Amino acid sequence: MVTDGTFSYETCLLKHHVRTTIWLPFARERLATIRSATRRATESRRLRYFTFCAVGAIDVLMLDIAQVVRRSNNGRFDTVYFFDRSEEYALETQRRIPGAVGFVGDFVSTVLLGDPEEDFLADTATPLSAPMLQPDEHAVRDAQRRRENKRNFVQSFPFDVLNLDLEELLFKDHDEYPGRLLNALRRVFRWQQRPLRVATGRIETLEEFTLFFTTQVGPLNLSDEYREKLEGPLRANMSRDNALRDILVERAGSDDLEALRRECLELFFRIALPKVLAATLLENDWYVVPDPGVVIYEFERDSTSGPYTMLHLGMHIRRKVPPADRRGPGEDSPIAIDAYTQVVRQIFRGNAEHVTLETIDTERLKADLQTVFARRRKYFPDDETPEIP
Amino acid sequence: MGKITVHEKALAHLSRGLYRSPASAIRELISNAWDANARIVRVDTNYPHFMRIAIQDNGDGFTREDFAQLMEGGVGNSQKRPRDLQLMKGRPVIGRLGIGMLGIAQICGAFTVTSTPRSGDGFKARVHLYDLIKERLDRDDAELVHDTEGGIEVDVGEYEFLPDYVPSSRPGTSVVADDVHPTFIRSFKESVNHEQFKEPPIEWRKALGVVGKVHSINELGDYWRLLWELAAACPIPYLAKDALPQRVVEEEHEQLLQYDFQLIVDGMTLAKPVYLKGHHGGYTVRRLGPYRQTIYGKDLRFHGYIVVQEGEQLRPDELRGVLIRIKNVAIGYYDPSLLDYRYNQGPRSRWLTSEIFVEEGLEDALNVDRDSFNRFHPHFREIQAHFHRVLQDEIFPDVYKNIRVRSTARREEKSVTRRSHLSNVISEGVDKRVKIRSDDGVADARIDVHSTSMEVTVPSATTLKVKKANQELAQALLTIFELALQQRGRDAQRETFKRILLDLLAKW
Repeated sequence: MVTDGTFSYETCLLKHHVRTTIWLPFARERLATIRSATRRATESRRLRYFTFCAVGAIDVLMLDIAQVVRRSNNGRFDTVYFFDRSEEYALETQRRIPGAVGFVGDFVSTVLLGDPEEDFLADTATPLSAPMLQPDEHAVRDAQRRRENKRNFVQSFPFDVLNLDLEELLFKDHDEYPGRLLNALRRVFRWQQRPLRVATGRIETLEEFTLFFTTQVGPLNLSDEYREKLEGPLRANMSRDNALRDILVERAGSDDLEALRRECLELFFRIALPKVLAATLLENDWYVVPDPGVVIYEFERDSTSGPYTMLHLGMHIRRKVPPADRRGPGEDSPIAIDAYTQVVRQIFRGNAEHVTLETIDTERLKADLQTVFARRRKYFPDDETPEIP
Repeated sequence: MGKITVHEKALAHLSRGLYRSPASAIRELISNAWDANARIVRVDTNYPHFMRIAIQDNGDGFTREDFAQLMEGGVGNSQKRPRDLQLMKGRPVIGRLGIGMLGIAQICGAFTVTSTPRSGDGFKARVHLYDLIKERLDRDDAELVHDTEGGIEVDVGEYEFLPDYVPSSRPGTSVVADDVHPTFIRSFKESVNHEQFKEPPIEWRKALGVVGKVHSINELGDYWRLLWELAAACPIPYLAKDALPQRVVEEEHEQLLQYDFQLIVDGMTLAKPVYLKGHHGGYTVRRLGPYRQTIYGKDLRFHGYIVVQEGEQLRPDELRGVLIRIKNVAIGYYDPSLLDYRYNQGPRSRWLTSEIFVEEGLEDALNVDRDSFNRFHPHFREIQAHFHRVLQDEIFPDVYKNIRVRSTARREEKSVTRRSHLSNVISEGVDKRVKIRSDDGVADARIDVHSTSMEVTVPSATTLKVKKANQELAQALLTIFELALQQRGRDAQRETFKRILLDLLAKW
């Protein structure tokens, strides 16, 4: 029996355009960087990929076809890790990409579970040890499993490509600023600094990774209080870098941020979203590589409550030099600060590519999706191939 | 006369602690899938984290009413299965007790069942089994034990239908156990994190190659044991029809293929884990039966095979012994005691593997765990007696004969090698071509020296009163001694003897 876990946008050509024009080339570049770090191809490790791939695992299979993600000698996608809300969907996903490692639960809740200090104990503490005093009851076991799930997740870091295709809002009105998702991202970016044990047993430090982030523009009914809090860091950027004022005037006709957030919320979000992400990376000892900076594709999607805009962000991330543990108190990395300034200017300037069915090569994308479906049937012959409209 | 009854509490205990391994509990769900005409059963363990276990089949499924009846009508009530149940492709019905679904309680406290039947209403239900049930039963917990008009009822858990059931496009059933016990998770995680762990290849044939290199599955840990036990126990085909010498399982293999039943665990399509081929020492093979006997009015029919891998221990050791299958489902695993065989065969018992396929009878001898037999049941005794007769009258006499043949051949081969070695060291020692001869009745070595060659006659073995194993060495020593005596002067004699002796012993 196959559960009906496939997402409707599995056949969405706009989404697949993003996969083929942002995700694939960025991931290829990441793989090339990994390979260039070793003298011989045989010494090179495989790319570690984290994704919210959903049941269809289209992105993983696309990368598999492109030989960016490689299976182990035993035929397993054991460098692919994914997250899903439901056990059933995670199961279906694993059947389509055998050997991939799945995590089940709410991503943000899992990441934020427990004290951040506990994350440092991930390699030593064992939540599964039989407790001495608590009874063998569901609640006790459940708490043990949740902590273990979190521990497994922390231990799986770092990744060469983090595909946070969450498709949810980065800012939520009911959240306390900066919000649970942003707090979760902070932790995730810290875990990216965990040592990487490669197959040979050698321990590496990840100096670079690639980040994909998907979010909706909005919410348009975000409270004034929250908007004000978002405005603060943008204002700080503008006071540090005068060029931003001119850029904003050129783009929005005014450098009045307050007016922008009150009167042109969509544009305000288009600037605030990537900027917040870049700032969060910076505060966690990473920075966005200015070339190519934050690549943004946006397209509109219909829903019962009206159309909304999706933003797909892609960027290469590099660790600050020197890293935090080799810098003095209050000292920052000049290279990172310079890169951040350039990236913020790019964000203010706005370089998003607006994708519509008219601007993409639908026939090529359909053919590409068929190749992906064929690959999926190879691993999972029971797969019910969807029809592309 | 008063009737003797079994208390329901005793039966309630069976819902926990029935099976001796996770594989046995999972096997019950696989058996259910077989009986539901499934072609494919997928078991997913969430390797390498083991946070949940899922068993999904594409069988007939069952309805919401069937499920409610199963849960409320008393687990283990075999009446739920129609006696005239006909399965696809002539499959025999293998389910018996119907406790299978709750058997998974051994490793988890709650699970979700989703089923889409061929006809009727499907459902999704959450089953929650009570915690600490043994302790609560012991103290007659009122929540669990009720007096009803029909007698005492014991509740072992609760279930509820969930509103988010979405009918699948194909019939089938899935059981997802997410409340997996932390001890189970930990044990399996430790097994895959162990330094001796090897990641199982997705291709089962290659995985069996890994298993075939270890002495025991224990070396590979719990996860491999689960895979191996499921492969051994379930009604799935062998790797090939010639998986065993003389194609002794060809018929079973073809039959199993015809049943069209696949078991896929974590992406690996399993096959029976026995594959014996190409051993240099060869195999002794006997087919058992077909055997038919009526005992106490009940028919017993079985056949099988015994294969001995001559001169080398089977790998893994878990293949050693005899495995009894009823309707193609293994009862327990390979029994290394050979059904309590009385004669100690030492290392030879580690060379022997056997399967007995019971077509009719023996089911009454099954213990409630379906993993072992009442060893005093008449059907079991009959199989045991027949098996032991074949071991004693045919297998082990042949094995010993083969050992003698191999020993003689090995001895002869060794003798030729040693004779050649003696010839070489003497030849090098005296710098002449040497021809070695042996004549019966010659007590002392004889040396005939020619201009460029030498003919050496070694003393006859029959004249040397030493252990048989030392005869060739004694022959060689006496020959070298005689040769040394050919030298002039004691120093030269000592030197020649020493040099040739050391050369001889260097490769003896």
